[in-house]
Amino acid sequence: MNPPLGVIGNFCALGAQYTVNAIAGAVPIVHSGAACCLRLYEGLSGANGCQGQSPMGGSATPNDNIHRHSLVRGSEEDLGRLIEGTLRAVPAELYVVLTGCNVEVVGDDVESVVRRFQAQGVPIVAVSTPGFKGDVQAGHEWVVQSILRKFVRGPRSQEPRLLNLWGVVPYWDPFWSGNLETLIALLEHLGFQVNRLFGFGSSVENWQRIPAAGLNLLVSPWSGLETMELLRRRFGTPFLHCPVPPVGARDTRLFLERIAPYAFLADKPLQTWIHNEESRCQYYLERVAHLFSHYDDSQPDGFCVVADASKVLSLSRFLSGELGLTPGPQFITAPIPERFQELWNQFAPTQARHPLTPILLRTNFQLEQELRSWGRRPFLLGNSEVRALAQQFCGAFLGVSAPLEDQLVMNHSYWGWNGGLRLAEDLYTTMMGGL
Amino acid sequence: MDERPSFRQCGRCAAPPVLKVLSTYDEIAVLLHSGAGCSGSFADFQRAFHQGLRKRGLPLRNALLFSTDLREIDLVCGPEDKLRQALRWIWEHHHPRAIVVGASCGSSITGSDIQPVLEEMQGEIPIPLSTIVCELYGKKRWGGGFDGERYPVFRDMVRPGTRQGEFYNIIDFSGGDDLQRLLRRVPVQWNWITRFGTYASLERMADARGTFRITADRLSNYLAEWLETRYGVPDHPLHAPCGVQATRACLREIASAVGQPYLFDAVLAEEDSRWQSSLESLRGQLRDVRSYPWAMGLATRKLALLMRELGMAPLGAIEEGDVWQERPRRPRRHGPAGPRRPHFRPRGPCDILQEIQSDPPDLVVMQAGPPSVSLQMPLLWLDDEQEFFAYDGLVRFGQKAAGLLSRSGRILV
Repeated sequence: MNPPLGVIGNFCALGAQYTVNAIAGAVPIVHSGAACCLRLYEGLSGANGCQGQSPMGGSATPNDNIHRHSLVRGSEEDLGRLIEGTLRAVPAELYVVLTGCNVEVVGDDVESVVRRFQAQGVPIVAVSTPGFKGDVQAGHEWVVQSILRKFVRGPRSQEPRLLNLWGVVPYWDPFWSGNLETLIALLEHLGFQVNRLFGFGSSVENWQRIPAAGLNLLVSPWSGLETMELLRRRFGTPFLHCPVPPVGARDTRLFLERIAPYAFLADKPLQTWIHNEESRCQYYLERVAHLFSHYDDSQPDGFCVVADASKVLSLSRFLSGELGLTPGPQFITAPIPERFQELWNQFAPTQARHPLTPILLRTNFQLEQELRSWGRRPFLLGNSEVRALAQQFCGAFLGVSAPLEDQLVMNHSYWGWNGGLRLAEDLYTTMMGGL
Repeated sequence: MDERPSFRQCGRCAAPPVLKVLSTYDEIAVLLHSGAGCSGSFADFQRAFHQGLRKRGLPLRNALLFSTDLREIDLVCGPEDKLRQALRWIWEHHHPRAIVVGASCGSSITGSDIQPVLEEMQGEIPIPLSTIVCELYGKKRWGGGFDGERYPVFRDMVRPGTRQGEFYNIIDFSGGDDLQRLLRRVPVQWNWITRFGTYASLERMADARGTFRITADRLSNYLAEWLETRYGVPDHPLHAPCGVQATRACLREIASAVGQPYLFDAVLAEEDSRWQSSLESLRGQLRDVRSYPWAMGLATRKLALLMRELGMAPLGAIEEGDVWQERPRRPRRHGPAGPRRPHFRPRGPCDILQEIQSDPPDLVVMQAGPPSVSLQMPLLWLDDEQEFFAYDGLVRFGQKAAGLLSRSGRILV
C-alpha cells in the first residue's frame, strides 16, 4: 500500500511561475483556479527560506481564478481578457502564460489565445504546466524550453566568452541565489562572461543573448539535460554537463578542472588559484578537524540528507569525503530515473564499499521508521519538517531543502570553497545547539 | 458576453484556512485529495503549527498533513482508489481521532464525490471521517471551497449527551488569547473551541448552554450555526472585541446571555485603570496619523476600529460614516441559485496600490496576504493568526504602530 504524500517539497509544475518571477522583466500570467498561486507562494517562497515576493508573485500574480461558470462555457475568453488587462496594468518585456489543473482537464486551447496576442507583436508565450503532469523541476524545464522555442530568436553573432549557466531551480531551492552567485564568481575567474538568466542581474535581453553564447553549462545530476539538447539542436551551442554541484574543496576542484578545457585561463594560473584556495580551506579545516573526529557520545552518530537527488549527492560527498563524517541512510524525495542510475553510482559516495543507495521517501512516517531501524542518533539535513524527528531521535538538524519555513535565506550558499566552510560551521554550531 | 479587459490577481479559496485551523487540533489528520501542488500551503500550515507550539511552550511535532498526490493517470481512471488507500494508511500508521479530507480542483473537476468513499470506508475505519468539499465545481452553487452546510464536518466528532456541568462554547480561531485571559477571570466554565484546541472540546460542544462567537470567519460562523440548528445550542454572535468600546460591549453581551449582567464589571474596571495611562499616551502619539487598513472583509473594519480608538485616521476602503461595530454575520442561507456575490474581493493589490500611491498615508497595516510591493512607507504586516483583541490587543497594536512611525520619523515618541 503506497502511503499518501507528506510535506516533502516537490510541489507541482505550476510552481514554475517562480521561474518566470526570477527573470527580471518577465511576468507570469496564471490561467488556473483560485488559490493555486497563493498555495505555491507559501510552499515555494513564503515558507521556504522566507524568500519574499517579486513584484508580480504571490498574491499579486495576474490570475483569472477560473470558476465553475467559466469552465462550463470555456475559459479561453477569461484568459484573453486577463492578458489584455495585464498588458495594460503591468508593463513587461516578456509574459509567460502558465496553466493549472482545472483548465487543462477541460482542454482549454490556451495556445490559440496566446497566438492572437503574438500576432499583435506582444512578447508572450504559453506553457502547459498542470500539476498532475509533473513536479516543479519538470515545470521549470517546460517553462525554460517554451521560452527558448517561442521567444528566443537566433542565431546571433557569437560571443565566445559568453556562457549560459543552467541547473538551478529558482525559489524551489531556497539557496538558489547564493548558489548562482558562487558559480558566477568561479566562472568569471575562469574568464567566462556569465549570462545571468535568473535572479540578480538577469534580464529578458539576456535571454535573447542565449544563442550567442559559446557554451551552455548544466550543473545538475540530470534535470535540464533535455534543455541542453534543445539548445544544441536549435542554436548549435555545445553543452558541458557537471552532474555534481560543487560543495567544498574537492568537488570545486573537480568542477573547475572539468570546465578548464573550455576556459580562458591558462592551466598554470588556474592551478595556482585552486592551490591557494585549497590551502586557505585546509588552513581553517585543519584547525577544527579535531571537532569532527572527536568522540563525543552526546553528538549524532551519522548524517542523513533528506532532499532531492542533487542535494543528497553533493552534500553527502562533502560530509563523508571531506569532513569525514559517517553516513547514515540517505533519503531522496523523487526517484532516480533508471537511465541515470549509472551516473548516480559513478558519483555517489561509497558506503560499505558500494555506492550509497538512497531511500525514496514519501512521508516523514517512513523516515521515522527508517531512522528507528537504523537505531542511531542522526544529524538530519533536510526540510523544516524533519526538525521534529531530529529532536525525537535526540539528533541535530540543519535546514537545506524546501520547504524551509524557519530560516531566512538571502544569498547563503553551501557551494564552492567558502560554501564547504559555511556548511562545516553550520553543522557544528547546530550540533552544539547554536542555530 | 463581457469582452472588456479584466485585470485580476491571485484569489483565495476558503478551504485552506479551515484546514489550517483543523490541523492545529491534536489527533486530527488532514488529507488533501489533490495533486502535490495544492498541498504547497502545507508548508505554511506547518509553520503556523510550529510557531503556535513554540508560543504555547509545547514540544515540537508536526501536524498530520497528507496529500493523495493525484497524477494524470488518477484523473483518467478515477482518484477514489487513491483516497481509500490514503485513508487506510493514515489510520493504520497514525491512529488519529478523526480524518478531515479536503478537496481541490484536481479531484473535484473529475466529479469525484468524496462523501460516498468516506461512508464506505467508515465500516473499516472506526473514527469520524469528514470532508470539506470544493464548491467550485458543485452544481448550482457558488462558493470558495467550504460547503459546511451540505457536508457537516463535525457531525461525527461531537458526542452529545455526555454533559458534565454547565458550560459555554467560546469560538475564537484568532490564535491569540487576549480575550480568553479576561474570560478566565470569571467563575463560568468555558469550552474553548480555538486553534490548538483539544479533540475533547469538539466532542462536548453539543452539550453547551450556548455558543459565543468571538471570531467571524467562515468556520466560526458555520460551527455556531450548525450547533444551534442541529443541537439547539443557542448561538450568540458577538461584537468583535477590537478596542475598548467593542470589548466592553462584547463582554456585556456574554454576561447578559449567561444571566449575570454584572459578571464582568469588576474585570472591566480593573482593565480600565490598568491600561488608562498607556492608552492615553498612545492616543497622544498617534492622533490624526493617516493610516490605511489593507485587509479582506471584516478584518479591514476591525483594523479601522483599532485605529479610530487610538485617534488615528483610517483611510482608503473605509467609507465615511460607516458604523464601526461589526457583528459577525450569520451564514448566508441561499437558495439553489446561490448567493449573488462571488467571494473574490473586487479590488486587487494593484487597485489598492494605486489608491495608496495617489494619496500616501503615514502607515499601511496589511493583513491581506504577503506584501506585493515595496511600498516605501511604514508598513505593518500581520499574519492570519494575529488579532488585536481586548485591552492588551489594542495597546499592543498601538505600540507596534507607534514604534514603526517613530523609526520612520513620522511621529516623536
